Amino acid sequence: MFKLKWASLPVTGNFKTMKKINRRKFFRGLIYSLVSLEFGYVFFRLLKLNKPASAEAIYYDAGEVSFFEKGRVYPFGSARFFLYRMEDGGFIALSSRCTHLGCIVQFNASNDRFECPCHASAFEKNGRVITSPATRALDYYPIAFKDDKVLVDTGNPVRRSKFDQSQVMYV
Amino acid sequence: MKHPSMDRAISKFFLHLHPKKIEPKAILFTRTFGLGGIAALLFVILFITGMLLRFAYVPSGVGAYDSIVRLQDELIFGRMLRNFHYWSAMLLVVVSFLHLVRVFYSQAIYFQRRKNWLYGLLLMFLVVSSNFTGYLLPWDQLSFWAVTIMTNMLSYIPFFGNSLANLVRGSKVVDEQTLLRFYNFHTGVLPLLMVFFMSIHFWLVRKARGVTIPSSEKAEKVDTSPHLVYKEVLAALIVVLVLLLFSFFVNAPLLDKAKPLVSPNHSKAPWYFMGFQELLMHIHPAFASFLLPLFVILFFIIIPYVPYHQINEGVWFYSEKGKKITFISAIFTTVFTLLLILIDDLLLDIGGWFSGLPVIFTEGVLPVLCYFVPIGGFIFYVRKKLKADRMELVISSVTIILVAYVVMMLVGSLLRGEGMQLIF
Repeated sequence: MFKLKWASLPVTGNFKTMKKINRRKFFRGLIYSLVSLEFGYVFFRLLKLNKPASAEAIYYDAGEVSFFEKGRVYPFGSARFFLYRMEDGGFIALSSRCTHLGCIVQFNASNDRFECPCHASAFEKNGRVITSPATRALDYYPIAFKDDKVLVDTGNPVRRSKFDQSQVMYV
Repeated sequence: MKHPSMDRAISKFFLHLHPKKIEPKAILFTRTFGLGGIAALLFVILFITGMLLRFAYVPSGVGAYDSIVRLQDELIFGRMLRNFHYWSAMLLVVVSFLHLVRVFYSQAIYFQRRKNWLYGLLLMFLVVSSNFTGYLLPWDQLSFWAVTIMTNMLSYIPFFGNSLANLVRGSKVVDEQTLLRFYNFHTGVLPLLMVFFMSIHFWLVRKARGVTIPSSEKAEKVDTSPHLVYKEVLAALIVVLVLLLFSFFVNAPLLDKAKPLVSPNHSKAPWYFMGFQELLMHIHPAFASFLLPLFVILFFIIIPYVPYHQINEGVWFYSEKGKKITFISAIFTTVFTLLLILIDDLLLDIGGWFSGLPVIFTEGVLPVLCYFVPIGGFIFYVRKKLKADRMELVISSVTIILVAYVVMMLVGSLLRGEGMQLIF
């Protein structure tokens, strides 16, 4: 009784019933779609971010380990990070880019926290959010120690939702 | 003073835009306030001044700011030219928005004008994009951080937000690549698209027999030229004159050269995006910069396609009751939005009270409920107590959306100072 129309069309090879699409129309449609796809793709690739060939670690030499006092925050403005040495001697390198909308946070020594000038987000010294609108802790950079020096891998910021102890590096 | 061939040429040319004869009601200034025409005029002004500015502007991180300074200080009428372009662009955003408001409230988006409403929305998007891409070009602290903030709003869109933001910027942060990209969109792609869609927009208005007017018995018609053309030319002259005078006395802002390492205290998005920025201060970004805008856009798209019981084409606010409902909705939304902004800023600390719950719930769902439950209650009241029909409910909802955005925009731009704290 109930017959699906499309089911009987191409499968049985009865091309006469497909009056709407003849060979010429089919090829024209095909060529148009291919050309538009090609142009779309080329335009998209033109605008697409060019990724660097390798995500090689670029280590920034922050200085001697012994230089950093415990419980203090050291700004590295041009490299866009803050180095915080915790009370227990561990290091964490925080990106200065606010996780809310990308402004540069400042360390406010009187309030002992990072503050974003754009939308008033505030972060603890380990990067945890104190005041919204930011919802994620500040990104951090991997740290390595070599010859008693603190090296910060500024090429690879790590996204995180909150602070935990495994992000702290010890000598 | 008679030039018959000239007159003929002009009236023939205007036939592309207007019918030959027209009802006097359609010419009344209060029918359209000339908004669509003024928008088109501003586009022409922007096109010409923009073409001139291209001779002085250097689209590179090193050269952009200095070229603007040179334009202002050393070239004759350079500052004037930039001011004229700048203020015309700002006015274009305002006028386009008012035009959208006007066609909606005068019921001019139904039947054969439905498609044109969609083209209008698209043009509104193009106007805002043009303004926004132009915003970055001076490469000063104002524009640099405004664009940083705005492109980061994009990255909150789920799944493809980050790649979209990178696609717009051409980089992970705003840099020279972004400048080049915005320059090309601003001076090439977008104007071209706008010319194309404006042509369709005008043609569809002409096809729908011009401006919407309430249907009535056969009225006397008058010649379009000179009756309408005269008024249009007059309006155009007034707009050009006022803009020129304004540009003469008020300078377009230019702060210090962009410093990518220092965000100035209280960086703001361009003023027309301040509604979003204000929203972002109260609600989780997934809602503020994605879900809510998405719903609003979808809602605006389907407005003319909703099955209504009745449509009163060309009648302001649909009916007397519609006018009343618009008024009440506007007042309610203004008071309620202001109140909620104040309460959220001074009293509420939902994140602190429910610190165990996920952020999307405390910063997202709860504030959204705080706003939309009372709004829903209000709409229910309008429906039950005022016996509003579907059209009046849509009018009420649109009023709520528009007024809420404008209120947030004004609070964000005018009432927030250092550290984005409220100032009075």
